[in-house]
Amino acid sequence: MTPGTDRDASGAQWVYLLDGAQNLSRELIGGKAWSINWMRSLGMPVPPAATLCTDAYAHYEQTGALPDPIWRQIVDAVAHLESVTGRTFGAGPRPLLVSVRSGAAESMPGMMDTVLNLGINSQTCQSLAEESGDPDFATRTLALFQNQYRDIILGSTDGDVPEDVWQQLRGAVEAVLASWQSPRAKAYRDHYDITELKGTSVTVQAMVFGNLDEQSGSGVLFTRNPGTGSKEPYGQWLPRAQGEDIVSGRMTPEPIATLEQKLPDQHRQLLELAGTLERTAGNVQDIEFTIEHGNLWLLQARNAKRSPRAAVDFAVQLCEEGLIDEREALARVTPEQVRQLLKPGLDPAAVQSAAIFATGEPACPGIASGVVVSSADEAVDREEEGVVLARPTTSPDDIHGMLSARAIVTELGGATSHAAVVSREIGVPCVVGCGRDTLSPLRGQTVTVDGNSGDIYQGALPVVQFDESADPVLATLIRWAESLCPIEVSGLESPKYDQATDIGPLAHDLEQKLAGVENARGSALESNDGIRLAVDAGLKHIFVRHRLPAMLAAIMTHDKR
Amino acid sequence: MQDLVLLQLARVKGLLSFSQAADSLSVSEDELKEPFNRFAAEEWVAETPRGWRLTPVGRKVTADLIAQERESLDADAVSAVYEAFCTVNDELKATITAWQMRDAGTPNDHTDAAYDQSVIDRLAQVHEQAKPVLERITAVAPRLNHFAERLDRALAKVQDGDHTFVARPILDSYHTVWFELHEDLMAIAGLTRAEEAAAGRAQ
Repeated sequence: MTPGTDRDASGAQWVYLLDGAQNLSRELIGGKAWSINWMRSLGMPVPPAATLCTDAYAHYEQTGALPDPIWRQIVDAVAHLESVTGRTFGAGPRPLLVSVRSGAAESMPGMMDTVLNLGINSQTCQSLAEESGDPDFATRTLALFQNQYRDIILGSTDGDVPEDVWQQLRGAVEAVLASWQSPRAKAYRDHYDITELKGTSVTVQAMVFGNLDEQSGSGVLFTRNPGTGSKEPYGQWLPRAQGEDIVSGRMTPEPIATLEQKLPDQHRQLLELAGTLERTAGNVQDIEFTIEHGNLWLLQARNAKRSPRAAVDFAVQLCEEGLIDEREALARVTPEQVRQLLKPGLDPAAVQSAAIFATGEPACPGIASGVVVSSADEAVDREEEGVVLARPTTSPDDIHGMLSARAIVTELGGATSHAAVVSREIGVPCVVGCGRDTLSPLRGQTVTVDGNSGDIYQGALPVVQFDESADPVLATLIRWAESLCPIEVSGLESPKYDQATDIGPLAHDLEQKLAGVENARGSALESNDGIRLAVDAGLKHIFVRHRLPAMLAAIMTHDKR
Repeated sequence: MQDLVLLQLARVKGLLSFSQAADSLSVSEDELKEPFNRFAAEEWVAETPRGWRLTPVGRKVTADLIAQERESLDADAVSAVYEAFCTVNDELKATITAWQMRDAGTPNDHTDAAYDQSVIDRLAQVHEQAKPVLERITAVAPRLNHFAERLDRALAKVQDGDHTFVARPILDSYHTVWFELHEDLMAIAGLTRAEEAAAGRAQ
């Protein structure tokens, strides 16, 4: 019987080979398995793997154990992994070790994550020692597996890890399935209202060893820099280590440039494969790789998380390179990311000549000026004047003063202090830990607090708005958005601004206020909800501080309809 | 209900409404009318549009009652539970900061649900560490028994999906209640916030 096309008596297929031969949906096999199958379909070097599909979960749940017909398909799949790797599960001279991973269609905390090196026992440890010529490596692998198995599957530090590798495998598969109903995973699904998922898949994959020898290592490569948005690939790797060592933070990784020096051929191959993945996905990729004895293997690829700057840069780069169209480029950027980029800053010229009264640790970003007061009561009483609350430290009874202040500064305490935590909750710029007795002399003076840099300046410094049209990347996005936006969006400087109806802030009666209005302005339009209501109400023309975030929100609303 | 429980709650909250006090202490608002009317008659508290506030006289009375209470407690036991509290305090504060900040320069914009859930799980772990400490605190200073229940409630709200109960001020969020507990512990231990902050423990 050919594994992967196997059926049980009822004709159902539970286990799929991830060899890229067929298109399998994310819903059926989960995100990780999907990524393996996708990379294999592109002919990339990915360790052979098979997955128990998400449909199987319901059958496991009924009985709390794996039904035999399903288990038989898993056994067949392992036989297939044995034949394609030329290795044997549970026996030498070349033992097959596997990883076992969970994988729902979207990632979820509380799921059992990964068991590595499964298939090692006292006998195969011996074989692995002889095969690798490195008895230490084999012993370490055995110890690592046993610890992980006790920790994750047995849930106790003194449990017995089975010698029988099939028992190991069955235990791990059932533990993954059981973790679907862990309190954390359930709470997560409840909170985010995830009801459409059937269960988790379980992926069994042949192990590759990044910790085998000097020609080995593990790392992560981003096809472009996810922080700065530059086109250069960015990544880190650890020589002679497994992927878990990078994730755990136990060891400090090296920049990807050192891979180019140490293993130039593998580095070149990695960049080529990464480029193909990016072009095929039409998106910047975050790729996990392992090099085993000089052979490069890809373990996972997914769309990269990115900073606001990188999000706008990538959108324009990929569109200009022809990988995505303009509509897609705009969909890749959220209004929040653009608002984040356009936050106002201090006038650089004024900062140059301003005196710095004190400097501390920035705790909540933002900029504000005001008169320094030294008690919460005084802050409440003088709120109208615009005050900066300066305290040695803050405590809960200062909260009313903190709410009245435009900025908060403290002499003592760090990023986790009461002042820092509360200021971030209420969105008030804050600098903490300026030093004992640095602030009390400032009482009554006007200062400017820069919660981004941690500086407290003498006087009220001018704040400048960033001009979105002066940034070439944002200007490009604005140009593309103009042709797709369902509503005309102008800046506040527009000559027609004065004739528009002021709809005020976002409030529960906004829908009524919008009825019959054609041209509107008002702070409600600085939020996505306000824009959505304006588009839904059929407005023709709105006036906002920044055009791009408003246009993105309007296009989003329009496309959702 | 001991007068000191209410007076101290008014002190740490700055302003205290009937509904807030009733919620925090799990009593009905009616039960609070008698003591607050009496405090008002004594001019220990004054009513403002946003709630009761201690007067300078009320602050003095509260401080005196705490000093009396301190005399009656086992000082060694108090400093031992305070030490125990401080060992959990650092992890709690780091957890709250992780809720707000992805790293030093990046505010958590709460768009990564998996990250948020991991911090909530971490908060639940801190709460497990805190439980035995809270039991010891209640054994040493029975007046502080309301804190354990308030922390339980805050965590339950967070786990039910109301994330404002992680750190929102005024509201009895986990961070608010934790900080009020810290205030009370320093009070019964005879420590001041400034001294403790300088020692790097209460900032």
